[in-house]
Amino acid sequence: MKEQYFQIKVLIRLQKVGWIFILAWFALGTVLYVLELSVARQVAFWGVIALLVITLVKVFIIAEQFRMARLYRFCLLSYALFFILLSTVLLKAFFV
Amino acid sequence: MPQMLLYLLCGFLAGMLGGYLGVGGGEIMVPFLTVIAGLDIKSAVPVSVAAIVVNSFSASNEYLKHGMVDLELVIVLAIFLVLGNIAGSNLSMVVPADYIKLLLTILLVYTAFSLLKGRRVSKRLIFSDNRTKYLPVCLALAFCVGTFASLVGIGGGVFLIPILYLIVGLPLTTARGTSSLMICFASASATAVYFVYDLIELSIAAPIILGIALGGKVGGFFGTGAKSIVIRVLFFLVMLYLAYELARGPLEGLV
Repeated sequence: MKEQYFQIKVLIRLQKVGWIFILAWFALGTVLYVLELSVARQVAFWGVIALLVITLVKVFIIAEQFRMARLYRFCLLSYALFFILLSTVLLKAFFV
Repeated sequence: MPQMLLYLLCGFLAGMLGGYLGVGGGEIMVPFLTVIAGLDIKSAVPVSVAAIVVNSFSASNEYLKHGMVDLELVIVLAIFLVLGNIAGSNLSMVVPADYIKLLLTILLVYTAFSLLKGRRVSKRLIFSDNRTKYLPVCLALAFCVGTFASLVGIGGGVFLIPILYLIVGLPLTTARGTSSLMICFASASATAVYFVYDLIELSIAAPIILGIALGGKVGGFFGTGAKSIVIRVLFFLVMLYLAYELARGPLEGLV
């Protein structure tokens, strides 16, 4: 394994920031729901989108880490995972 | 407003209990949301799956910091886990709610007895790396775990950790770390399917996800040490009660 060459800190920072961001976003959504404002639904909607986008960014970062470590097979597999996740949303959104 | 606070509180308690006991994911959340908050199981499962994604951000970070995640294995197994999750979340739309409740009851009883027994890990000193030897088996198992996990709204760690530890041969802490990162991708795919089909009730998702994420952090903070037998028996009884309440409806329908 060449994982010692990985810049894991990038992934850790993204997850940390992502967790705080999602928490703050859903806290805002909850407050808006408590105040019975119509915009609350939009906030919760974009919160779920943000959750999925952060996950996609995570897969992209892992793929790039594999590419930089010259582990091309795992880089390709990471991109395969990226496209499977992306297609789940895109295929269903446009064809269901 | 009181309903929102009830969801927030239920999410917090479920997250705290899961974090404290170290059983993670939906094994606690879904029964808690169904029995205590009174949600329909088909509403509780998508919310639980979305909350698992948020929880896995902080859970996998701890393992990443200490280099306890096998990223190569994460990517290989996550593909099949994600495919299983997509299949499971599609399947959940046709499987009757009573069957999902019964499946979850069996899992809850199993988790309750595992908790009562405590963690007795064999002190293995030599770790054999069987990843190439048993790869096809692991991929098939990952697909099955993914399908079951998204069907009942759990992360799947309860099955993934034994697979990584016993079959692949990873050290237990690495198995836990690897599983926690895989769960994030898998649960995200199930969330995407539920979201696209409009099955995530956004009005309840916001307070529950917030509560679960906060509760999970608090529970994880207090639950790092070993649990005394009194606490284990207490939680064993709570979990059996949740299992009983969950199974009561479907079983009455059968009789």
